[in-house]
Amino acid sequence: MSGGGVRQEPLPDGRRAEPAPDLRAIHYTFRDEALEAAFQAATWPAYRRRVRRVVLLASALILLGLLAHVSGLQRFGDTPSGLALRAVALVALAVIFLECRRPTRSGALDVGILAATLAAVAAWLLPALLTDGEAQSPAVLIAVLALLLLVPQRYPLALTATLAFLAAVGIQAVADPSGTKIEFSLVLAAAGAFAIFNSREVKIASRRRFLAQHQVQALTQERDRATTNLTAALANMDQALLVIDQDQRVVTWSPRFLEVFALDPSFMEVGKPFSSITARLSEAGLLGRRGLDESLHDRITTPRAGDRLELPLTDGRFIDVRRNARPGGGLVITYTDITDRKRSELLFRRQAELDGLTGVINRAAFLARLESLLSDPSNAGIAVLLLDLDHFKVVNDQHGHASGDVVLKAVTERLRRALRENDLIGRLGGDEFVAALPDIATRHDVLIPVQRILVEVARPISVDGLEVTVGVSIGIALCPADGTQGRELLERADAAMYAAKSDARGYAFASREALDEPDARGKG
Amino acid sequence: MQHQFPHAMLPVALHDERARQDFVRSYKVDVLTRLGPGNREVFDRRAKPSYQRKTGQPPRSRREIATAMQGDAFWQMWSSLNRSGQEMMWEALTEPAFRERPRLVAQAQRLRRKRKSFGSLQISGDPVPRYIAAVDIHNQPGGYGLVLGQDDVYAGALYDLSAYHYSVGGLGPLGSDPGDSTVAFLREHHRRFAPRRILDLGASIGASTLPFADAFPKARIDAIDVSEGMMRYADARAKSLGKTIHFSQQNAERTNLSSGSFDLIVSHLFFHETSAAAVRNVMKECHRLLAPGGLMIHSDVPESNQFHPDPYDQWWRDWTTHFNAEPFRSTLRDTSLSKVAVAAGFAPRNVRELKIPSAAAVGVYKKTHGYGAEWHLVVATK
Repeated sequence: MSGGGVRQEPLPDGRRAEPAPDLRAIHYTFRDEALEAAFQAATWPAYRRRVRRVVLLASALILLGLLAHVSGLQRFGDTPSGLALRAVALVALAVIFLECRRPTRSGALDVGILAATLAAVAAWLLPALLTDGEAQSPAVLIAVLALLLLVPQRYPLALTATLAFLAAVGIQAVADPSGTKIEFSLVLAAAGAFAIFNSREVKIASRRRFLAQHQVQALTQERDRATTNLTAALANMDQALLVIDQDQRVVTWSPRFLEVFALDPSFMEVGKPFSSITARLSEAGLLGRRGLDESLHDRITTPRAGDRLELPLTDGRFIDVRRNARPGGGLVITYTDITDRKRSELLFRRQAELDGLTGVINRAAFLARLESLLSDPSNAGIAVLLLDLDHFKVVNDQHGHASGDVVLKAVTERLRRALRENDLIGRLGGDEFVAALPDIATRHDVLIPVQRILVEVARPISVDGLEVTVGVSIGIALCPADGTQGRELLERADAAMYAAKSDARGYAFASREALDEPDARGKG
Repeated sequence: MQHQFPHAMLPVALHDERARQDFVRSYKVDVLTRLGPGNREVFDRRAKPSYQRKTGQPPRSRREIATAMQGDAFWQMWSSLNRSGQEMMWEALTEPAFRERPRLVAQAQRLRRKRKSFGSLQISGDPVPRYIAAVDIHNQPGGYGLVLGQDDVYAGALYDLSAYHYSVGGLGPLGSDPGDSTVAFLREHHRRFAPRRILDLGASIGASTLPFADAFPKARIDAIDVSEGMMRYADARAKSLGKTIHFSQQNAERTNLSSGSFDLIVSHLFFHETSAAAVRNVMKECHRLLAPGGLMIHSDVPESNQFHPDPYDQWWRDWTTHFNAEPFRSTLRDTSLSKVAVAAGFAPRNVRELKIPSAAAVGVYKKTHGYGAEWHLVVATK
């Protein structure tokens, strides 16, 4: 088998079946967009707040330095006032520099920034000191550009810095067309940009964001791994699984679930109400509303935690259904196909209940089923017939026991034919049979079934080419007139059967015979 | 009391069985004629005033009377006694009929063999229609469609016994009073009428078919019924009485007989055991089967509401619908058969409904008691 994929066989009309969709994609829709949104919502406001504060502070300082420097140059030149103003600008630069001296997550970059800043300051100061104020502008420019190139351009702050640099160039060009004092402004702007990048506030915010993102990634990976394992486990599990939430909506299911209930993969989707699944199964005739008693149906349609039931499907399968609570509300429902076990159980039980020769139930099973019939309040009344074959001994003696068996089988068949499908037929042993007829309200109702039996059984039976004829005597007891207990009814029917033996009609009622006895009349 | 005529197909009751039958018959007469009128008193003195107190007005329709009476203890008791009488009757009739069944089956086979010249018998083996199969009409065990075995005549034998005991002898020794009465009506009102082909619908055991054989000896008489057991029994019974009738098992709603082939079509005690839809179909089929100028006569119990305007009488007659498994009887009483006949194609001026005296009343045989003093006819000419 390759890759766990669903084997594709051509459909009868030549089309190929739709390829099975990736289960993971269906079952565990990984909502990255949602996760991302949550992540942004959690981290972005704090980050933006911090960065904005830093940008404002740095911008104010740069502006202050620039104004001081430019006005100093223009108004006072290298006078003491001009120098004082430039000193203010230097102080601003120093503040910015101090701000960015903090360690960062990326040491290499910071060393570069620090070195570049120092180089720029040196490039501005040393020429001015050594060569009566004339600065070496190309060297400084190169240093600043190198620094800017070092900054990864994907950060929005780099853009800010670039813009600050360009603004500084512009102001400088307006203030000092000769371009002799350009260096200071450039350095100042670059330093501001670095300061913003490396400010403690921004670093903390960035780091927090990074850590949060890392955590999310780690969690996602872990989840993916778990999901993959779970999916693989579910796909290879013999048990079917369905998980529903506290609102009884589908959370997830295993592919086996679709197989067990013959559902179309497109039918199932996350969030579908559980009731729509049971409705679909009823519609498909799998649940067999008729066959289920009310309480079982309720248990199927309203699942509760801890509930366990054996669900008979109309196609003959039995499904063991277990419902367990799901952490956080809802249920985890497992479905196990126990048809084989159930069948063998039933077979075993049936065999224990059956009479080996005739295939009808034996005395114990008959009594048990009669009791359950009697306890069913929907029954208007029940007739218990006790049947004893006439002349059966003669058949046995003259034709042998094998022939007797043939006769018993034939009689059983005829009883089945004479009675309704839901009538109970049993064999008490020997040539004694017993039957229970539900929904018999009065003696009047039982006349025709009894006469049917008499007619059917009296027809000749073919045994090894010979025709033998047996008769039957039937004792009839009615519930509730003659009793409400199984044994009691059997006893009454048995007594009536003995009366029937001497009655030309071939049948006798328990109650009439009772009326004929003086004792019973006295009691009556 | 006059006895049922012991023709060769009648189950013979043993001494004890006969005693039981006699008891049940007397019991039924007593419950009906001596206790039954008590209900009227109970209604007038107890149920009606109580209903009036509760609702502010006396019960006016038979449904309101049913509401007024349903909880009354006397009525419930009487109703139970009446129902038990019916069940006891069937048990008392089933015993000899079932005991005699093998003999009757053999007898019918013998008659069919020996008396080939007396009419014919065709059995289709079709099941009876649902409206017959779904209910044991007036609680006859197994219903009209009952077939217990090969060549069975059991349903017919039971019916024959019950026709006598149920009517308490009112249908005459051969149960032929409805037919006798129709014949008497024809003799009096259609003196020149000499049908050559006669058809009897829903003939059951052919009890009312036989008088036509005597009255019109030159005519060919066909009789049909949906029940296999009835037709087989009717054939043997007619043969045993020396009458020539052609019986065939089929549904009168759609026969296989050819159109316009009958001069006289009759039925007796048929419609009250037939669903309303089937009655309409039967009328249409009659119209199809009748030759121009032919006569159709349906005779049934005279209990149509047009004869009984008193709602108490109407309610009283509902008993058998509710408690004696005759589901179509109340509906029939509400139905105008003239209208059904007209709807089936008969010209309104050719349709009439009337009550005729029963043959017993005009002295064909000595009347005993029970009902049967009158019959309700719907007569139509094509």
